[in-house]
Amino acid sequence: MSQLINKLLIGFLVFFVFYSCKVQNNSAASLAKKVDAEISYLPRYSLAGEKVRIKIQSNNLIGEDIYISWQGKFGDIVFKQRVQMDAFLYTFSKEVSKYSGRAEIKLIYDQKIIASDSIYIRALPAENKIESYIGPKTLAVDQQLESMLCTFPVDVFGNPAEDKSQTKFIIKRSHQAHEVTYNSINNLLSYLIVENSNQIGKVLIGGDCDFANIEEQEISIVPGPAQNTALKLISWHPHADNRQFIHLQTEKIFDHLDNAVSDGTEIIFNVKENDKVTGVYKSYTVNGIANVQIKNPSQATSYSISTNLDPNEKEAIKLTFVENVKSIPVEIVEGYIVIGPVEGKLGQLITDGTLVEIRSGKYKIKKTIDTGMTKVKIPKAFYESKSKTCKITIGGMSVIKFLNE
Amino acid sequence: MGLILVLVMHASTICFTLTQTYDAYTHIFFADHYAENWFDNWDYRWYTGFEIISYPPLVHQMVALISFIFGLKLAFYIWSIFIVLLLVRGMYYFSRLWVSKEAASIASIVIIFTGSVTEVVHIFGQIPNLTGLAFLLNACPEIYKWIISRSRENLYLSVALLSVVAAAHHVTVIFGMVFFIFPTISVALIDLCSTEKGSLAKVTFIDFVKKTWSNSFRLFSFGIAIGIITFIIILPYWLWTGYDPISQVSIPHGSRNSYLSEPMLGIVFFIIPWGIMLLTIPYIFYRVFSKRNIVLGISFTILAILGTGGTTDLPRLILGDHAFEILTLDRFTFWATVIAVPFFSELLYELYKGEFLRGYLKNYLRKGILVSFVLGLILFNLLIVNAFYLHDFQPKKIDHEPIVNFLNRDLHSNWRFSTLGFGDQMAWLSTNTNALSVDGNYHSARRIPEMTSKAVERLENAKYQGEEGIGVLKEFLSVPEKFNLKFIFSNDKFYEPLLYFSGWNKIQQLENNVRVWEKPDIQPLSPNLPRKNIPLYQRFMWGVLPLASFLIACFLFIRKYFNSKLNTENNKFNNKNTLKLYPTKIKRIVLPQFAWFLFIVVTFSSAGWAMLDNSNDKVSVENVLDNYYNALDYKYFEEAYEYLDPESRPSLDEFLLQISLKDGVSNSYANLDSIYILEKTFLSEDRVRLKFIVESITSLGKYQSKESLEFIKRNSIWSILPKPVDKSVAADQFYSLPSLSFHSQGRRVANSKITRREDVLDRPEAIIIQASLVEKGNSFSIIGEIQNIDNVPAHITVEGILIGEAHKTLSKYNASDVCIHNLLPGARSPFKIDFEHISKENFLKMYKNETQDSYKNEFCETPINFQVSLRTLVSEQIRYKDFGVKDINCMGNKLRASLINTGTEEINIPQIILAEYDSEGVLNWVDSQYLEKGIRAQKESNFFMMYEADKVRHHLKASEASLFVNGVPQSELNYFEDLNRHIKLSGNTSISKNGTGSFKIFVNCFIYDEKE
Repeated sequence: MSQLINKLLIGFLVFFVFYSCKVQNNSAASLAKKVDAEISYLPRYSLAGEKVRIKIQSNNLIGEDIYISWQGKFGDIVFKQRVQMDAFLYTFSKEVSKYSGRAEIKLIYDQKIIASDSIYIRALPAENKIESYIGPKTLAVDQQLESMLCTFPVDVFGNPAEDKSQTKFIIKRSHQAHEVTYNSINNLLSYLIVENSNQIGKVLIGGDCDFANIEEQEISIVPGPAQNTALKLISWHPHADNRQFIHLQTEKIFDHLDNAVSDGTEIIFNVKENDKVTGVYKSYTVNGIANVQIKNPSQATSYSISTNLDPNEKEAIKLTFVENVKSIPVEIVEGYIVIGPVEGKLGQLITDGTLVEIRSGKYKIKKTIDTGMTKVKIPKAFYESKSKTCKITIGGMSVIKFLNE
Repeated sequence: MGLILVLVMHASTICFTLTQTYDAYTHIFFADHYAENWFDNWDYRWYTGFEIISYPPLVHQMVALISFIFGLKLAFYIWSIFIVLLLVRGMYYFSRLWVSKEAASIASIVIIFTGSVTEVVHIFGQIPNLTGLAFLLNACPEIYKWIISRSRENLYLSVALLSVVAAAHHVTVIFGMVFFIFPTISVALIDLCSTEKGSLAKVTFIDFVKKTWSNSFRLFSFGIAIGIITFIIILPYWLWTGYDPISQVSIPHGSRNSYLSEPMLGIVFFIIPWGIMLLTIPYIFYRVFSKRNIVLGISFTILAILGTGGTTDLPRLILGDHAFEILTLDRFTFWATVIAVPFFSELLYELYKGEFLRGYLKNYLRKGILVSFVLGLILFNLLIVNAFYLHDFQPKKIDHEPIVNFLNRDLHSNWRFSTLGFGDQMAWLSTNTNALSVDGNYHSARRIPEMTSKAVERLENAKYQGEEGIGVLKEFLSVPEKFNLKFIFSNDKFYEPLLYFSGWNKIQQLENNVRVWEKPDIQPLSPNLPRKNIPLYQRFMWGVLPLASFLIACFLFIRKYFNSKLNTENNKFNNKNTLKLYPTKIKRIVLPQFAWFLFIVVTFSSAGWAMLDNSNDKVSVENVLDNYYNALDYKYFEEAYEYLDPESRPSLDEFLLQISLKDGVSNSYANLDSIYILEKTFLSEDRVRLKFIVESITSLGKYQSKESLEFIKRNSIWSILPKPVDKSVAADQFYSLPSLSFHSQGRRVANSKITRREDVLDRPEAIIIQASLVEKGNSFSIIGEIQNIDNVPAHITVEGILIGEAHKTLSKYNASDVCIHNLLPGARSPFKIDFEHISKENFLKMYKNETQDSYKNEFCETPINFQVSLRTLVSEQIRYKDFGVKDINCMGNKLRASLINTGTEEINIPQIILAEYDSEGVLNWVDSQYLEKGIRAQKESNFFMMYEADKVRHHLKASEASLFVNGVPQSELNYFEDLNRHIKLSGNTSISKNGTGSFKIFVNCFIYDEKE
């Protein structure tokens, strides 16, 4: 029973609340009055940050609250105002009008727009630093590319400068006079196309618009690929002493527009013996010049040295090396082959570590020279060879020795 | 007294040892997580993020709490000391279950000096494990008293203590139930029977079963309650093991190996934990297998067997394959020794009193043995505590401050980092920085396929994991962009060749001598990193329940203490648990015990003597060879010198000088792996020539070098005939070379703003000259050639993508060491990207959570197309260029030549890259080789390589549409007046290959600059 009563009570309460609301709505509608209003004195244009004043002429609104809405590009700002008299002035603060662009002003009463008008807020002259973007920052002289600088001048409130404002660009190319260009702002930005040139070096760009300036911008114009070059022999030792080095240097290497090639450009040196590549050396340019150290051969031969810039080897350097060893004294002492003292062409002992090859038939022993000498115990296999001889080779020079001597 | 000894023995030394341990820093890292984010279940700092709920939290949370006052390290010390104190108390009351009051008192002292405990604290740093044990030992007497007296107070306290065990260490609670609680329950039931029957002798097995049955409901309820509480206390952990089970390849652990074949592991995992107690094993068995202790005896036996690791197959049979592979078995030895302590202490007491042994041992002998045992315990313990001074377990202490400062400045923490050669100190570094590491020190929690699919514990110590470890590290270094990995801190020069050849640049040496390596062109981390969340209630449970369990246990303990029951509880233990029960049987053990004692003494003395005596080292050429190379590997140069022939060897000074001049991948950057003898030739009776292969592990992979040595026998001792040394003299005494350097300093001013766009340089122009997809054997490779056509040096990254049907990306990977990553203007490099074909099943298993586009070099479907993408960045690094190749000679399919160093630096590791072309100039194959020895200035080194092009099958040649440079199709590089001019410049350097095509030799030189 008590549950039934509870349910009835709840049902009654719900009905009462629903009915009350409906009655209130009907009474509000019956009380609605005819109101209107007008906005006047509103200029067509104003500058960003200036106070904007309007006159509001209303009818039947005295004592009522109206809402005045400022609808700019960043959204709505709404102010509540109690109407005291039929006509009155209203002023928007600087904060409201600081953003440039068209703004819509609306009067709202009872959730209805009763009047509206619009104003265009103009940006102030550009000030401070101009935001700017540039790219590409490097142009090679052999590239059919241009660089582009985009600038975005803004006023003190961050409003983009007005279209048709002029941006002045000054370009300073290496070894050339200033170039001045004026470009007007269009769709918030102005831009400058910087063309490639034959002259390598920095291109510095400055610019301003009204009271604003860009930060200095820079483009590098860099050389193109290297052209052929000649080789210079700096020093060498004409004997087949493979301890020594040939020092070669290229002439200054230029691109096709006579700009010195960039530092670090890799240069490859090919060494040919009898038309066959037997050596490859790598180097890089410093101030357009590449140096290389090429090792001497270990036996008499001729080198033809060229670079990768010279595929036809027109500028190849040819060097001929004579034997470094003057004589190879050999003795057989108590089962040992004693070689030395081995003399070089200058009458000196040939250097320690020089390779000695001793061959008998198909057997071969390798030793190195120590203080002009070396000593090898004769292996049994040497005696088993048909010839009973051994061939001793040092630096391309050979002597043959009978083992039973 | 025990408590004082703890302070003397452990508290005074722990400050010196704890940070040298294996695990301490890891636990401190976890504690740091709770100190910063108590309720967060996720930590981003390791493994691209991992679940912190993968380890029970109590110890870490307690340390975090204490750290709010004392800081993390001191907090960890404090908790460790507290736990050792608790362990002493626990051991006393646990021992009272099995031995007399006097023996239990001794046990509480002996536990302080037990090798296993000292090892766990001072070498392993496993404080959660010890925490679990300490609470478990304290819980056992409470369970006993509850069964005997049915006191609820004991029940509540025991349950509370066991819940703390669960909160501290999950493994202890699982195995502790089996190995500690079952014996405790059984002994309580036997004592109940004994009381009823009037004597233990009258208790039969039937009585025991009846008693168990009559108490079964109580015991079953107790078991269920413990199970539920354990489940709830660390519920998120159990749920985590369910939804994210550990499915990674088992990480090798020394405790699973055979201790006989690897005696060092036997020392660490068997001899040190057992210590002096090993001498008394027969006595311990005798005591644990007494009627009253029979269940404990079974526990002890199983634990002792499991603790022998892989020495026998028994542990594997008992645990099963899966459990055997994931558990570390040293913990079983640890528990076995803890069970042994009461009985060992009982023996010590008996040796002191001599009540029963008087008839068998003279007094002076008895006292002598006692003194020896006590001294043995103390000395053994001191030895373990000071083990760090005898053997390096960890790299030398690293000052982390410079690294932390480096990571904190210049937004370096916007990328991930990794460390190499830091040991467990990497965890301390992570604790001190918020920067994220791709590596970590808790492998159970990681889920990165590159790590979980290999038996590799950490990247940081990859060299100790052999080829597999190096392989995993290579993957991370080859595709660091996958993990946003930009910085590597290297504390071990072993890894530096790999970093160099994988395209990393060394940018700085910090004040602590750690070298910083950087990979250019890596994207910074996204501000929103992925993470896994668990429900709020689980995070709440994880943050509150473990700590609550500890607080409840403390409250119950204190309540009990104030109820003064603690003082009288000794009476509740059965006093008939001493030797007095077995007076007639003790004589049975004297002889076996004595025999065992002799056996151990003789075995270990002989083993020790064999280790110290090196007279056998020279009895065979094989021994001499092994020992000589081992000595060189460990840098024991004076020992190596002893293996050279005394009559022909140079002076020691000269030998050391010769060694110091040797460099190269196998001399300075390798660990000796094995030596295989190929040929043994007797030149005479006392002269032998061995040809052999030395296999070394280097960061660049396994390295084999063929060697030959002659041995001479004098006075029955073999020694090595020293090889002639290179006596050649360089050409110039003093010379100069012009050099070049670049510096990219940007336009930054000293502020912390993000890189200004003015800093960003244009990406250098580069071109992919050609690329092909080829197959050699069963593996696919993308090979090709690239060129820097810009005017600045370029760092290059070459990415190859295999494409399957419906444009599906099958695999994506970067060129690693077969590519020169820094190219000067105009320079070229060949490249090779290898892909590994695996089964679909394995592929899906490994990469189940990966997106299609993520980097992986495994694939399972047949590729039908491919793409190559080249990215460049301005580099200020110049690779060493002062070298040349001479005496180039092609013979059949073999190339012979010499590499000359024409510059001023020593080339530590030269790499030769051979690119083979067909007669039309199409690249056929790219191969590389690291030369074994370094090359000093103006010196040369011979090498030979085999042509392999005829073994390669060409699949596809790249079209212009499949080549991309800096994200743009290469076909759009149409703004050059004459692009061919650039290409031709380097194109005419190929060398004819006896009329069957041509080849080019590229050289990449690693220079270890010690001057920095």
